[in-house]
Amino acid sequence: MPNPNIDQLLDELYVIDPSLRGHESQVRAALERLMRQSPSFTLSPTTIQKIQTSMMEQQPVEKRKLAWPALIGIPSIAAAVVAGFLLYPKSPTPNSSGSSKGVTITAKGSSAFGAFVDGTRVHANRNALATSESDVATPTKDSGAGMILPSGASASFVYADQITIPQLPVLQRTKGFSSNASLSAGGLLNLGTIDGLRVDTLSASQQTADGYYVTIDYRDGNVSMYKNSGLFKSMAEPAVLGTREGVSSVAPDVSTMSKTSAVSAAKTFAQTHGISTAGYADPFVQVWSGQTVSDEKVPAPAVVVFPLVLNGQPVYDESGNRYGLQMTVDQNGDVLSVYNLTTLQFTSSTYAVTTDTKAISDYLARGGWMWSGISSGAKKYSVDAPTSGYVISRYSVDQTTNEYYVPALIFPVKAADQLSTGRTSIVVPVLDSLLKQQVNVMPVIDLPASTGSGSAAGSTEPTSLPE
Amino acid sequence: MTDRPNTDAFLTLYHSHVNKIYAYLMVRCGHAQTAEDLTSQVWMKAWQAWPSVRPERPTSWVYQIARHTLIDHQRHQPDIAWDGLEAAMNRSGHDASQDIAEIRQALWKLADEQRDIIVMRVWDGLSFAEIAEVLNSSESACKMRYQRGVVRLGSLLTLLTLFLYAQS
Repeated sequence: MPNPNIDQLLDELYVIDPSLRGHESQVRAALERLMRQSPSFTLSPTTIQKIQTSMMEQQPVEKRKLAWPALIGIPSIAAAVVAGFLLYPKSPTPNSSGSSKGVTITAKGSSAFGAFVDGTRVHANRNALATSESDVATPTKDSGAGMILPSGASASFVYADQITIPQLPVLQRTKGFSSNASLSAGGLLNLGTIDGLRVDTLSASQQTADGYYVTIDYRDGNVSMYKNSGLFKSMAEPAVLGTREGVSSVAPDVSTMSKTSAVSAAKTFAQTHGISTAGYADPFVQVWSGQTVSDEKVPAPAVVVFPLVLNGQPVYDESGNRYGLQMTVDQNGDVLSVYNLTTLQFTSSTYAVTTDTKAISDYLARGGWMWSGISSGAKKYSVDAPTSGYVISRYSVDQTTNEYYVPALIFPVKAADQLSTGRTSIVVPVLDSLLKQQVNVMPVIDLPASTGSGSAAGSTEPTSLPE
Repeated sequence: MTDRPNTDAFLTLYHSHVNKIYAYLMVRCGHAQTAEDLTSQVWMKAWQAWPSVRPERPTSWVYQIARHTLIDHQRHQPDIAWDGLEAAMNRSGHDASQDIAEIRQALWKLADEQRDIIVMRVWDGLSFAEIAEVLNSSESACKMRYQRGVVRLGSLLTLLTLFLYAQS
C-alpha cells in the first residue's frame, strides 16, 4: 500500500472524529511536519543480497532440528527452559542466594545502590498493554479552550488528610540465573579455551502454526514467550473468516471472554509448564479504564497479571498498574504470550525516605512522574487514602539496566473517577531523589478555541507564553 | 523443502519489504548495525515459518515478526527506542534538525501504542487493518488511539514551537 498523502490522512481522521475539522490547521500542521521528516533508511544492495543468500542456504522444512545441539529432540516448552538453565556457564552474581522459586531478599548496608537515579530512566511499562493516558471513551468534543491539551493535563489529584510515609528498604533485582552449567558446541569447538564466554540470550521455537517462540535472557534472568497462533491464526483460517479480505472486516471488532476463564487458563498454563507462581498474589485480569464489557466479561485477548509482592507489599508500575508476571489469554483459553517471567532474587538497602509532604502533594497533583503540567482549568479529583507499596523503577548506566523497587505511596483513584481520568491509582515514590526528578514535565498553555475550519481557521497564537 | 513458486512468492515479499522492515527497526532502535542484525533475524524467522504459515496478509505478518523481534531485543538492552530519529537529523541542515528534535520530543510524550500507530500509519504506510494485526488489536481500538495520539501530537508540537520561540 503506498504511503498516504496529507489529504487522505485528514479525511480518514475526520471520519474517526468529525470534530477535528474545527482544528484542521493544528492537525494539518502536525501531520505535515511528521510527513516532511519521514526518515528514509535503506540497506545497501550488498546487505540485501547477503540476507537473501543466508536465507536460501537454510531451506525451511516442516519440522527441523533446532540448531543448538543440547536442545535437539526437546518435546516441550518446559524442557526447553530447563535445558536453557543447564547451558548457562556460571552464576554472574556472587551475592545471589540461589533459590529459583519464590522471592529471596538479601540485605546490604544502607545506600548500597548509590545514587541510582543518576542513571538514565527507563519506562517501566514499556510493553504493557494498558495505557497510562486519560483514555476517555468518547471522542473529543469541540469544547473550546484546552481541548487539544495533552491528555492528563486536565486532571489534578488531591488528598487532604494526613499520610504516613512508609519506611521500607529499596530493593534491587539480581539479574541473571544462578545455575551453574557448561557450554557445549557439539564438539566443533572447545569453548573452554575462550575466557569469559557467557550466553546472552537463547531463542527456541516450535516450527508449527500454533507453536511458541521462547526467548531466554540469561543476563537479565527472564523468559518471554509468544504463540504463533496469536499472530497468524486468523490468516491461516480463510474459511472461517469468509470471503472478504482482511481479518478486521469479518472478525468482530471485540471478542469477549470471562475473567474467570482467563485467570483459570493462565493458572493452568503456569502449572503445565512449571512456571512457579510463588512470590505472586492471586492473579487477576487487568483492564483499561472503560474497557470492561461487564463485571465478568472483558474484551479478548485478556491480560492476566500475577501481581508481585515484596516484603509483603504490592508492587506497581509508574502508571499505577499492578506489576508482575503477565500472560495474554485469548477467548479459546490459549495463552498467547508470557511477559515478566523473571528471577526473584533481590538485594535490599535502606534509604532515607522523604519528609517533604509538599513534594508528595505536587507529585500526586500532576498524576505521577510522566505527566505534563496541570492546566488552569484542570478538574481536581480527590483520591482515597494511600496504602504503602513498591514502584518499579529502571535506570540504565553504561549499557546495563538496573531494576529497583522503591517504596511508594499508592493513592487509589475513586471508582467513579477512573473512567474520566483513565487512572486507577497514582503512585508516588517516597525518596526525595525520585520525587524531585521532574521528567517529562512540560509547560502547559491554554489554547484558544478555533474559530473556523480549514486553512482559514484562526491562528493558534496563545494568550500567554510559558515563563 | 519449499517449492519454487512459494520461494518466489517469499522473495517478492522480501524485496518489496526488506527496506521497510529495516526502516521500522532503525527508527525504533536507532543503531544501524543493530537494525541490520534485527532485520536479518526477522527475515530468517519469516523464511523459516513461511511454508507452515502461508499468511493471507504477508505485510502485517512480517511486521508482527519485526515487532516481536524488537521487543525481544529491547528486553535485554537499555531503552534506546526511537533514537533513529536522531540519525535522520544528521542527514539534513540545521532547520530540519530543529524540526526533528521537536518531533522526536513530541512523539516521545505520547503513549507507546499511540506513537507506534501514528508512525506505522504516517511513515510506514500501513492501513489500520494491518496495524491492528501487527498489534494484535482491533481496528477500532487502533483508530481511537491514532486519533488521540494525533490530537496530542498537534498540541505538543504547537507548545514546543511556542516554548522554543519564547526561549530564543
